Amino acid sequence: MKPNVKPDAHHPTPEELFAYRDGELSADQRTLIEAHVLACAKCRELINRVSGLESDLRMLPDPVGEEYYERMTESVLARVAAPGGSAETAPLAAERTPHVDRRRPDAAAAGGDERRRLRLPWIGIAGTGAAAVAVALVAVVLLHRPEEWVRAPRPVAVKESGKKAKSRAAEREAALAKNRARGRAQVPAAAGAADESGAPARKDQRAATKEKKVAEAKPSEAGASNETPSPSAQAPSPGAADAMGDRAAPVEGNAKMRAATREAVPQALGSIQTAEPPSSDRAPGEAYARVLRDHGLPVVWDDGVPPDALLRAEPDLRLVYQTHRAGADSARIRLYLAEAERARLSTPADPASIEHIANHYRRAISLARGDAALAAVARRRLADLLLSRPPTSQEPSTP
Amino acid sequence: MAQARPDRSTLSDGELVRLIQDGESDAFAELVRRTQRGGYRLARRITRNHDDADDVLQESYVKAYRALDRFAPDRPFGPWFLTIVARTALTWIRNAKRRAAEPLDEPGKDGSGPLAERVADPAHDPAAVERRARVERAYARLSEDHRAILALRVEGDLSYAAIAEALSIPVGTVMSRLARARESLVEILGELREAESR
Repeated sequence: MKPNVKPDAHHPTPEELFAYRDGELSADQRTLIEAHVLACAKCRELINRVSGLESDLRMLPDPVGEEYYERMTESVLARVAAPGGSAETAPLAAERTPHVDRRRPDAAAAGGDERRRLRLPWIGIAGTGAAAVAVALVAVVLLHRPEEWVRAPRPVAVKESGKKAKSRAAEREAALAKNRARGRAQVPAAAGAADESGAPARKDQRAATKEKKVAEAKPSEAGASNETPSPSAQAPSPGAADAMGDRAAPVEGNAKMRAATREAVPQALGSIQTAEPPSSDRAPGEAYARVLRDHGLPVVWDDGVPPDALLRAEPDLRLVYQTHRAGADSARIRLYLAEAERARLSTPADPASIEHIANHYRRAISLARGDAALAAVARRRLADLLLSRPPTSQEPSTP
Repeated sequence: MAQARPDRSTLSDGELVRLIQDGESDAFAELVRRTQRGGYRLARRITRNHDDADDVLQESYVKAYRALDRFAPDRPFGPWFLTIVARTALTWIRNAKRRAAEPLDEPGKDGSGPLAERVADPAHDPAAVERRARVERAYARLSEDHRAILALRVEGDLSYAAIAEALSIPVGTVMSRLARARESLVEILGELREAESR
């Protein structure tokens, strides 16, 4: 299937869609794209498809076993302890860790289990509920900033100045001409047969991109002389929800629209709740299970969890997460952390705290990978949280 | 051989880094334990064979260890280490040390089954096995740059900023290259499916 969203000005670009899916957009951008994705089956399908492919890539069983890792650890420690030993002087091949057991014990159990395929949270949402939420969100966005919805704004990181854009356009034209002269497209010949709709324009564009990349200095080669990034540089956080900046204030609708949305959305949320798929029955990992046991908590947060138990468990849950022992329970822990922080919210809550909690939910949704029930709960709670935001000072108060 | 070491599994990365900086070098074992699976999978995805992945991983740990005295303990170790793995692996496959990629359809040198058969247990769902094998074939046909950036995102679970640092490219380029890589994967997969149905 060929993703066919870019040529239509009413759809976000693939870059925007994937950045949304990866949790890399600012709050403003995320709101716009989310409103569109909820209402657009085509964009949902593209995101869902790519998510499924990446889930399949992650499913490749670990080709080495525990014994390999144990030996490797010892080998590394011996190398770093060796006086004068270095990456350059130590003969790597001679020290190569023997290749052992090829399959993890749980690999067989994991294989073939369709439930573990990554499904985006909205896949389980009933059409009626999703449509109602979408209509409400789109209405808020359209009425509040109609000038911006003609086309979703390109993320800040890919904005170009007019001069730079012209230069790039010229570069692209040159690359296109070069590519046509060569009479080849970027992808292998078989692509032509598989590609019926809009193929020429798309292919040229892709070829141009590739040509441009060839012209660029190979960035990874430029950094190849030193593979150790600066230890003191600003920390990149894995999966940080807002690497591209949550600096922009969240989109705020006016009070009237907010009131209208509040009327429309609860019905939709009701549909979402009834449409929640069955909960994942995967057993929790050891560290997470211990915290659950100690505090008498269910595997996945639900409305029946007492706030005081939640707050008591919060430090332990946080420790499991921060010490990298969360593993496959990461999404469950992020949901618990969101609820714990929510239980501590003051009234009225400040927008920064709400956004912080919203990021926990968003991360839980993206980490849910196949646990549609958990994703649905996180999604419902996120919608509920965002709708409960107090109006900003610019908004007229509700009469 | 494994020596008895104090249990440091409850310490944070930062606390472990401080211990190492204070001279307790065996605390590095815990950092290795936490990051070796992710590091190996990332190295394997980029180099596409075990021997290279093993070499890359070991070299990356040595580099990380030697840079730890300048490492800020409040910074997460895992993402930083994965950027080292990514850079080391990319350099590795571009120089003379490169070995042939592990073939998808031939048994491994170590006696293991073909990669295509290891993607899942056939006893459970043959359709899933076939689907995953096809995805692996499509991945193998991506360009080097696309494979690397997808590996960083899929196996490393790195943010765009971390990927940008690992590849020494702007975040905007990460965004566009990742989108192209994903589109290419979808497209190649469509071609494979079509070729198989003929």
